[in-house]
Amino acid sequence: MGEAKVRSIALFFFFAFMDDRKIAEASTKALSIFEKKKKNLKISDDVLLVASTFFVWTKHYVGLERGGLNFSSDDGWVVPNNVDLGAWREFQKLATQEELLVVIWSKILNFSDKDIAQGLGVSVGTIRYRLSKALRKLGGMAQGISTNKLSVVP
Amino acid sequence: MVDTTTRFSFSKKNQRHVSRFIGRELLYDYLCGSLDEERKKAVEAYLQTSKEAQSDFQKLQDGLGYAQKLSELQVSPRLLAKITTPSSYLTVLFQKARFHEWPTGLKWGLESLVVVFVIVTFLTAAPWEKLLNVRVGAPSSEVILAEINKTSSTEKIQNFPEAQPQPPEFIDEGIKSKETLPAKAQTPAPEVPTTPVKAPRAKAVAAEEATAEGPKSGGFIYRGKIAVTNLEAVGPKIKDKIVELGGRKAGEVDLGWQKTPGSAYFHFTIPEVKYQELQGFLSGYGHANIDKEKHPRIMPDGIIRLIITVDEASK
Repeated sequence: MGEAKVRSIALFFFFAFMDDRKIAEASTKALSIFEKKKKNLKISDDVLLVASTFFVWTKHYVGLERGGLNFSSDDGWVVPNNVDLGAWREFQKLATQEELLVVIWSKILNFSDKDIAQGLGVSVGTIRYRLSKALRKLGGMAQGISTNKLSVVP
Repeated sequence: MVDTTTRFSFSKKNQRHVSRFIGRELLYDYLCGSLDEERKKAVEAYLQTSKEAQSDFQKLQDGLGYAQKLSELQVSPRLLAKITTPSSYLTVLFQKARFHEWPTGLKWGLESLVVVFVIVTFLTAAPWEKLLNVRVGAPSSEVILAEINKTSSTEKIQNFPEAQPQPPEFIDEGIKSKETLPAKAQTPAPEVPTTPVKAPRAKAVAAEEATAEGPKSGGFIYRGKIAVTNLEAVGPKIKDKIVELGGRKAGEVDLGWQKTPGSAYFHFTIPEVKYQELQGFLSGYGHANIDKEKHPRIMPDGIIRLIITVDEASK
């Protein structure tokens, strides 16, 4: 499996959990599912990534209490200096599951709306609607944090 | 999105004004640039007129910009390696054996073999006899008529240094008096005289007892008394000496039990060979008047039983 795919899985769970222990655990599970399905299904990697990460999320972590922050650069996460995770932390805590996940897939991992829709088994319109709603919410939280002069990483 | 050749007007003035609801929903598509020209113009016109739409649009822009910044987060190769490294030995084994590439039938066959092996092992190793004999919570239908203790005599033999059969545990007998003898014959309870008794009287009692027992009585007991000065100090020394000589408490009370304030009571057994030494020791404190009397209880060979009363000497 390519490093880019592993990186995508790790990033997905990073933004979904923000907890290093759960990230490693869930990433390993998702990776295992991805590799199994990859051999049996002839679908694109991005669709499969969406499906496997969503499966692990719903099966193991859907009821997880969100909003925590438990990681450090020592764990292997390199947060750019001009990025403040405060707004994301708030968004991760308050957004609905659909809003949270679709922003990660679409705007952070840059999967296409079509792949996300296929991976989730919903229409593209649904994805765009969720994205619209989620970005409004995230934008509201990120307002006041200028992307040009972002403050310290927590 | 809209084919301009087949479109038809939705308004009398040939202009498509978007409603507040539609305008709001189209903002994201407008931001992504996925609207056709006509709708794009319509949304732009809507944005010009609605402050709410402008605020919404700003939020969308901020959200998008922020999300793009987040995508710059890097994951170290060390962490990626940690995720891709199999966590268990079984996983490594499966990976090395390329288990996932095996034919389905073979995989199923192997899995069923493992299951069968586990079941057979369990059935073979399980202690079925014990399990079948376990009665969980069921009341027993057996009625206990009597319980016989078979262990007491053997345990005492092990505890005794001479490894000889020993009769049941002694009871304190004290120095018998004439008055108490008939009562003792009726009730086996231990008898503790309240006043010291002189040796000649004890001799008489023993003689009577021996006569009463007849040919059955074949044992002996050593009874005696000694008057010492400063009983409080001498009593513990006598006790220590008895213990040192291998003596053991024979009755229910401890060695040197304070029968009355001026009298200590020693009822014990001791190896016969140590008797002379004990006598010598006691003679150092005063004249020990000890007599050998017949007694129905037979002691093991080499062991004698003594009852000695140590009194405070009268001044």
